[in-house]
Amino acid sequence: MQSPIEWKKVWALVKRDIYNWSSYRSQIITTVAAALIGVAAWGVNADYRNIAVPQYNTDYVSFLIVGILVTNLILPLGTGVQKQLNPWTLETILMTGLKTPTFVLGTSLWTYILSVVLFIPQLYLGIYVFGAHLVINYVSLLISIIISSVIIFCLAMISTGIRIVTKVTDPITWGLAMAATLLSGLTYPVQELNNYYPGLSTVSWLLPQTWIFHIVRLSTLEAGSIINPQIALPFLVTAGYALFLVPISVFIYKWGLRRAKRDGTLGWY
Amino acid sequence: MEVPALQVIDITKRYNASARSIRSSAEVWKFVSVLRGRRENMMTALDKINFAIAPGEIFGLLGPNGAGKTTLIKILSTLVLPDSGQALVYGTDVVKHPRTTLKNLQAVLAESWGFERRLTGRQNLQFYATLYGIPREIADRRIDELIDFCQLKFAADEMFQKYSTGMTRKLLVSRALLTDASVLLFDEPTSGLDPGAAADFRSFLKNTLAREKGKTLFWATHNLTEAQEVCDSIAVLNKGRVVATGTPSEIRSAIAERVSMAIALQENGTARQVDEFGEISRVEGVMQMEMRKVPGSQTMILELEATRDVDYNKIFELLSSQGLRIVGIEASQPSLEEAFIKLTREERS
Repeated sequence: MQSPIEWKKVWALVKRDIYNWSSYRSQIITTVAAALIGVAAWGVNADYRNIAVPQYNTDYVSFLIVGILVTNLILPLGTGVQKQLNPWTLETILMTGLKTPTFVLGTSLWTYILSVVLFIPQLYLGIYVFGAHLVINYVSLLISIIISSVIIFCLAMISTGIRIVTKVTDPITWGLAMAATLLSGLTYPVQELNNYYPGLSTVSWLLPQTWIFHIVRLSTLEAGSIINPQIALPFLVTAGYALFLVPISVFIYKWGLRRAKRDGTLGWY
Repeated sequence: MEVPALQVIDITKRYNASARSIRSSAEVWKFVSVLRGRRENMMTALDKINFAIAPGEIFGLLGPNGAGKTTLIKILSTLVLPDSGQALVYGTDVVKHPRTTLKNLQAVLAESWGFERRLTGRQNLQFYATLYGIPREIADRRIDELIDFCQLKFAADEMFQKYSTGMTRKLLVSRALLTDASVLLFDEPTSGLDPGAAADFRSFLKNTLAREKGKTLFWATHNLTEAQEVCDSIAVLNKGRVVATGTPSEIRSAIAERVSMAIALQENGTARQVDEFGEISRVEGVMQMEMRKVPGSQTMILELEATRDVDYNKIFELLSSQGLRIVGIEASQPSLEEAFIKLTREERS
């Protein structure tokens, strides 16, 4: 993405998605309502069984609300590109000679912007209605969001690359998402997993999503500073995941595209 | 020597005949097999295709369904990779330099609109103009010109979902012209259009795009009348092989095994009986012959059906020796449709 013209292309893709999204008025209402209701439902649940979460020196409401916010803020990135994978659009867009990063970024950015916009009322609801107690280190939070976004973006590219070949199903990303739902600690500290099966939390720490939840919680619940070596370590591990995934995701996306071009299935769906 | 606008050299493409995709999550067991994508049970879609198109030429690729036309168009549009061979657009290899290729070549694929239904025609064009990297002020001017040029002014600010098939085609052409590409590929451009709209569209492509603007048009079709009416030269593609190339009349005459001819003759004073011409029927190659008199005149018409290599000189000599003067000759060849059916049937058998 060397030149401003590439950013204009990204913006064109975002603008198209905004037009599409905003032209369905009922969709706007249902999206906003679903996000707020989701946080409210979890909030009520957490409030009901509020217990201390010593791993982050906080209470369960705050712990859970941050988990939900992360889920709503970062994880939707992965769905943005996949939604664009219909052949009617894909073939013509590729015929414009669009570069891969521009395509992937442009097609996923609106989903991300929407998540950020929805994040604000969700945060308000969490703090003022459910009494979530956030102690934020903004530098660490910004860094954690950047690292997390890179990881999710890479997972989206991997998923896209595979879906271009398989068309509908991507069991790799699906399996990873399911494992994350079960093991990454959205609703509980992962150390609790060992109560069910000794050593199970070790499996959880193999998932990038677990690290995403962890570093965001360190930044928002304990005001963890990355200058602190104990906080810096999980940040470094998560950044390592991101660095590991970048070349792999680019490779898989390009492989998928080339395979579909070789097999003549780019226009299939 | 002039560089061809489009040159295809020994292009070959094979597909896995049993290629499959996963249709639902329930078919997850297919996953490994699909990802492995073994090249087995291969079916040849294109077999060593060769041709060259000069700048400004209208080239027709004629072939029945499944002949490989769309595969070739997609290779040229950089959407499918060939197994071997080379395709060059003004000397640029489409596989090695896809982005440069797409600056000179655009395809109008009737099945791949790529338009957003909730955006207007103009907004769709603006969207693609940005993706092509055209600066806004140039794009806006060009879009206005194209909307005017493609006679879409009345619908430019309507949502795309209200467009008819004919309007969609024109919007597709407008998009293809955004970059001012000099080579335009059309895949069955008039399919789905009513006869009137198809005729208008053909005339627009031929007269306005090719003749006025000097664009090189590559026209894939199975519509023979269309090919004959529009194309300067044609390649007939069948089962992935080019079975004939040339102008429409060259193709017609190349396949003609027999020639039908009517020769108008004038008697030189002496009236002749029709049965006095039996010698002509014995000339090698003459298959059928009929002589008839035109009532009320001294003119006779000799109708001949002969093989392509019939000895015309001998026939003319015989007529002349009978004291007849040739006043007119009319030869008829098979239609392009007959040629096409013959070429594709020969391949089939």
